[in-house]
Amino acid sequence: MPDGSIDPKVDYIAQLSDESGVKWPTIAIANADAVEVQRLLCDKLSQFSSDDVDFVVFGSLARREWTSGSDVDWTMLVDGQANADHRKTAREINRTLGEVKFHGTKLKPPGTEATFGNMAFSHEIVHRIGGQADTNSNTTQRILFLMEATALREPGDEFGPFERIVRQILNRYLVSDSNFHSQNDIESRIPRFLLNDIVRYWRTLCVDFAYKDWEQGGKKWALRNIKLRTSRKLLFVSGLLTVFSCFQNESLQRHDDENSYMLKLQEHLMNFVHSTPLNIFIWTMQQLELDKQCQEFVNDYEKFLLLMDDKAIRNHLSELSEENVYDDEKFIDCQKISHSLQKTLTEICFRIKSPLSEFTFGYGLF
Amino acid sequence: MDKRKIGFSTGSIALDDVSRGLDIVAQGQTKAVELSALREEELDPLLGSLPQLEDRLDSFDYISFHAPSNLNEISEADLVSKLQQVADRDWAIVIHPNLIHDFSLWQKLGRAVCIENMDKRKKIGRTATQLKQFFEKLPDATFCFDIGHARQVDPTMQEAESFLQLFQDRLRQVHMSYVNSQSRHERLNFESILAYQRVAPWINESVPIILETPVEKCNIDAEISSAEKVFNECSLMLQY
Repeated sequence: MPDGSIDPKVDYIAQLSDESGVKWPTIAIANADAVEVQRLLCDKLSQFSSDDVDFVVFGSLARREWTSGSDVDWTMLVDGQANADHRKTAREINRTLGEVKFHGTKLKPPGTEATFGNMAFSHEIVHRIGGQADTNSNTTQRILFLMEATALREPGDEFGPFERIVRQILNRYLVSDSNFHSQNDIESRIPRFLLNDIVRYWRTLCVDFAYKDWEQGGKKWALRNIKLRTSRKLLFVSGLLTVFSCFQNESLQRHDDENSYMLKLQEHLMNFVHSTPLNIFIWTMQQLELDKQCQEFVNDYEKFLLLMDDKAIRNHLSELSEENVYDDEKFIDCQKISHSLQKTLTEICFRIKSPLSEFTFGYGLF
Repeated sequence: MDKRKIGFSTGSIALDDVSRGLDIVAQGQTKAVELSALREEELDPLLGSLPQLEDRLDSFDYISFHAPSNLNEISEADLVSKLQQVADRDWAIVIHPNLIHDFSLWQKLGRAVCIENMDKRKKIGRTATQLKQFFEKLPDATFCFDIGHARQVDPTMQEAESFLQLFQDRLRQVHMSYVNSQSRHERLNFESILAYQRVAPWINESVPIILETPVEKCNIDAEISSAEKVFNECSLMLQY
């Protein structure tokens, strides 16, 4: 049912705010700050980029949801000849990054899981989809390249290794998907291989939540729990909606030969890669004319970001032990926000009869 | 069977020796040739030799001229002035976009200006969006589609299709070779033929193909056969 494609240059959040008269100041500031931090990092780190190497950021910085507690999740993406000096470059990026300040405070390095703050190699990301060699880290990087990542390059010089690799990842999902071969009707197709990997990633995130709890003895349980229920869930939803954008989409009907059709679909999906989860959500809701649910969701997300931007609350949640969370007022506040978000998602995906519920029933689980 | 004109760049088979390049090309079944003055110092000797080459050029249906890719000694205005005699012959002048600064100069050459898309090393001219700005300022200019550069920039060929979609009406010739990760031109191989087949339907049969592959005289016909596979063996692609 969605028609056409999202325009990655459009700020649908600001557009919705203008049209509805509702302000979401925390989201607006988080967006502006993220753009500013990206520019700052680009200035400092563009010296490390080339036509073979890109500095790629993930997380709240890439989603343009920067708050005072955000860290810089990054990777040095290599798509070129093997070179032992790449290790030295990665170390130098780490050192340089450690000196960058925003609003007078040094930027925080990535967490301890070693998925970020390191090198990533294009061959593994493109070729190892599924199978024994597709490690947790490889899956994470690949899916995040599609859903919440951006390469920091000078304006006008955006086309580098990141752009090249993301197109190849999408190409893999399409070319290796039997759904796109040997079908004679003109209806647009669902990229099921991509959908399965997005769903797998979401379930991996949920399983790893329990794993981290086990490994780290409950450290930061409350904060990780709230993020999983909100920003991580929105990330998954945006992946789901990206796939949904192909569902009965008239502009993606197959009138061309197989190759042209796949390139058209790839171009369509690239628009989603270049957008952000919240923009994807709003664009889809507008397509479905679910304005009320859209506003409710953004209202809740505004509340969530406001809490995340409060250092005292964030620190409190970081220290809160799992045993005490359900007696904790702040945690309960966060939990209420996440329940409200889930209520909206349940409505739009299952309760309200629409192409999205049809899609969710048809493809969401089986 | 495809009846397109497939020829060679003299630079790829004989470097700066255009006369020798012509001799080699003329031995094959080629009807197209690109005279190459890729290095600045090759420009004046090639321009000076054109009257003597005329008889030998008569056998070609399509002739283009590759202007230098870098300027150190001569100015942009001097280059355009020197190239006027090529434009007067109605040949395509293949030019890299990074050399174009003063658009008013190049406007004088009209449709002879044939702008080429670049490899991944260049900051400009790598993508269709970047090249569009040049055509907006040079509306009469034509397009030299370097399919090897386009594949190196985006191996999925999405960017190649964008070039061909956007500049279909301007497409004057195609440069073809396998461009490796170090941006060197190599002979066509399985990988490049497979990729080029994806966008082959976009390239009209009337558009000449200029091979930029470094081949020995004995391999000229084999290389042309490889290029023909791009257009004649689309079944290869479907198997993969």
